Amino acid sequence: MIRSLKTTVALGAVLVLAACTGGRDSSSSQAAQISSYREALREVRAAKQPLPELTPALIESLPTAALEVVLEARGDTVFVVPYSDRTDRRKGALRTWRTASNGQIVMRDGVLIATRGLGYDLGSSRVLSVLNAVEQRSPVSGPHNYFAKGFDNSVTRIDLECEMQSLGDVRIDIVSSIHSVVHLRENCLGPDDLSVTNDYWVDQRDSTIWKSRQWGGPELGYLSTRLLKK
Amino acid sequence: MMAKTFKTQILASVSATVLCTALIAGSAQAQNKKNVTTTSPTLNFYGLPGLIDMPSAEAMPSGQGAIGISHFAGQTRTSFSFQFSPRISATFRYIGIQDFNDLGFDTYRDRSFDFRYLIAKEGRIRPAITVGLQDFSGTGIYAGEYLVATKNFDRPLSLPGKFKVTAGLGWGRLGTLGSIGSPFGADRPVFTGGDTGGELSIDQWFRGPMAPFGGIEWQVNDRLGLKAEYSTDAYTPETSRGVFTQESRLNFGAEYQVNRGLRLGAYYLYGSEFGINAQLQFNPNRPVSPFALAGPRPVIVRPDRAVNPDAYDTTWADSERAPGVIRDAIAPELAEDGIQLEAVTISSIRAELRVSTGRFENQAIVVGRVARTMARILPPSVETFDIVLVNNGLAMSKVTVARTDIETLEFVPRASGALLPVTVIDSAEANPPANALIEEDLYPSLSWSIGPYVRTSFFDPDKPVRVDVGVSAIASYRFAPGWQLAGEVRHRLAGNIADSDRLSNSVLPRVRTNAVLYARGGDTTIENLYLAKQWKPSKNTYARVSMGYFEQMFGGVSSEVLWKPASSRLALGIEANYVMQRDFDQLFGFQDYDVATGHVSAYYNFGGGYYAQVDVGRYLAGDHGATFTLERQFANGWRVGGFFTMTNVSSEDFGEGSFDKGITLTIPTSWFTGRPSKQVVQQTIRPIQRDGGARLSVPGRLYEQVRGGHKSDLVADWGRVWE
Repeated sequence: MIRSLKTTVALGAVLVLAACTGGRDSSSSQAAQISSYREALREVRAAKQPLPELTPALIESLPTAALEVVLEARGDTVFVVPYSDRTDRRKGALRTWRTASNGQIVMRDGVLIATRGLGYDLGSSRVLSVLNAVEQRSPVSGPHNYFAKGFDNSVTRIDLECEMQSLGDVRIDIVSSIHSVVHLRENCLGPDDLSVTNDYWVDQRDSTIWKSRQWGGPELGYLSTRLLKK
Repeated sequence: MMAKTFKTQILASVSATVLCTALIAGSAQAQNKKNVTTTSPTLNFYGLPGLIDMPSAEAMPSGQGAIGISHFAGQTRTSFSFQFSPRISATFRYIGIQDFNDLGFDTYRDRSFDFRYLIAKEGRIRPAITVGLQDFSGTGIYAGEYLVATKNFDRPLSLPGKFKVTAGLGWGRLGTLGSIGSPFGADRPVFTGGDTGGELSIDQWFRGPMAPFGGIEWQVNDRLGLKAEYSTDAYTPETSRGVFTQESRLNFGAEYQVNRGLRLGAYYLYGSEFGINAQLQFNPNRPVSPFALAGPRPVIVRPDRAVNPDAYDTTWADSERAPGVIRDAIAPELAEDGIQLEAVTISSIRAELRVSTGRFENQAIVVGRVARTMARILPPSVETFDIVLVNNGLAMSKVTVARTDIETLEFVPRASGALLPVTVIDSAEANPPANALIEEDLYPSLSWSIGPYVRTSFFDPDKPVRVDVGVSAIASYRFAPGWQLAGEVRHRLAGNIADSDRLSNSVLPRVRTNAVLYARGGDTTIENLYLAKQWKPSKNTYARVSMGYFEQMFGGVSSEVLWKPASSRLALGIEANYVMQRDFDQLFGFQDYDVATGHVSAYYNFGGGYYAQVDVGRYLAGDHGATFTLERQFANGWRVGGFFTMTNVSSEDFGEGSFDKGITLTIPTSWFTGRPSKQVVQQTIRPIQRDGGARLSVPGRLYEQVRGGHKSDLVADWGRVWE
């Protein structure tokens, strides 16, 4: 019954490589699972594209607004462009940014409120006090509530109480573009001694958030953003 | 030579476990290459939270699984533990004791189950307290009970790290050294071995001598831990048979935390032996890859009715072409998301879409994606969306949402929680309305897969893990709604299951114990080949009729009816089958044995991911009885459960193990890949497969097909509705 080890290993390798599926039904056969793992691996490899070097000329040539987002916990940098703009009955204009692989980052007036397709996403959040602060370009303290997805795919509510302070007027350089901003810092405390610090660099004239470092939840971690083109 | 053979077998016995968990360990490492800090308790040689050979009182985090492999003095223990709830944990263990030379064994092998209950959680002053039953249903070589307390101390006496102090009282095996009395009676039999085992040894629990044990654990830093303990186990069965000599009651060890999941230890035990222990802990809540689904298309918000009343004109609904135009616009968009449109019913103010998916296990995502598409495409006058979730022709439930809510609630705080109270989830009519536009292109549909297969056989005393590998071809042809013709052909390329010389000794009809003869029957086999039809006789009932070769050993006809309202936690089912035993060559013939078998079943969802099932009826060997199943399902699809079956077959007639029992493990493929998928890896582990309490394995049982689309599961999944 037992063939030689070499023959068996060779046959096994061929079978793993040759495993294939077709049709609409989902199958949990071992062959179908091998195909799934192989496809996932291929997608991961395909997603690893080198980032372009940012230059003023490159940014100037962009036909649309652009935002640089660094997912600090993963060490990933992505560039996102507007996908949809809308308003609802709440304060702040809604903009959904998306990556090349259709990961999405949703902001109200530049304040992070949700993500989609990044994994461990921020489902939704309450950011009214931050929006007021950005509008006024001065500190406004208040609650900051997160509804984040954890490791188990369920949604966890995280209520933070936040004190905001102004760290003063500064000038920041984003790829050789200089902006006069006020630096607002939001220090938040939550359950189980959770401590979160969000930073917003807000344009002194029109409240544009040119740069920020915003928390997206316990697993997603901090998102650092730079508005490359408005 | 003997030792070499034994080591080879031990390697074989752990290899499957290691292979199955390699990805898990890898994930723990990948997720946290630098930080190895873990709050999980460390494990002892029995694979339980504990010191070295003695238990401690700590519980693992809820849902945590642990695999422990320990070895000393020729004794190897492979354990799988699972923290079923914050207080309840269970362990299944497979052991080998080399040079036992008794009871007909050179190497004694045994399986055992443990149960632990956390009586009190650790407080500021109070220690954690746990009561445990060890080997409570086996042949009793490890039988023992304990009551144990553990307290943690941070940086005591200004030393770095953490101290953990454990003290307990042991009975049975854990009361054989240093006894201080027998408070609950002295009449406890000693281990003799050789009986069928498997029965609860209630009359022994906490009887006989009681002895105090204890020890300390010092976690010096994130990686290094030191342990010392006083053991109350005399190892009488082993030392009396010369397995080893016990010189001391004290054990010492050092452990190294390799990453958050893996911990390795080296020990000096009983004054005479060196030992090693590998502990691997994993949690279903920490996937290998985070679940990431490409973001959805944006909802298009309708113009304000007061500003643009013309947009809400309803005359379009008078056109006969309207349903077709809408279907042609919606179907491709849904198809890109892996959702099939099965039927469209539309009026000027309301639309029903019947949809199915081969991609998403989480049906809340399907609801969200379909509602978005409807809000993007349907004319503004359509305000009410009915989304009927269909699985293999069965309409599972109808989810009704208001378009206004889809437009206004996506970006509010607590967005998914805000949508749920304004959503109605109810049973769906069996069939689309008479005026529905049916998507005809979905049938016929052929699905197939070709690739390798692996069949395993565990716990043969001569070779604990046996494996067959080969190539498998599977096809499923759905020629009309609810109809399916499916089959699998296998060709074995290599393996050793047929090499076993342990043929059945069962006194019952050999409905499951002829596995070796089936393995010897042929290399090219028909694993299954059947025709099935399933439908809904009414709004709350489901029905199935199947005929053909259902599994490796049986074929025939099977019928099932299930009552399950979409919003009910309770389901009731009845299944009747007439089957014949297949020929060993697993082609088209049958043997002489036939049986009418069937069950009445009750299913209940307790909420919080806990499911129970009771099946009462007649089993394959003609025995009558009931199967009890309890399962925990996690939000990401992991399922861990246990079951046992009691029938009118006596322990003697059943044979080793006394009654059928086992554990089930289901891991979604998406947990590994992070991609949405309905695929799962499933494994049922029985300590031993006998003929009593054996149930037919028929493809396509109804409850599993519909529960994912019903209210309880939808609500559990609802956090993802906006994805």
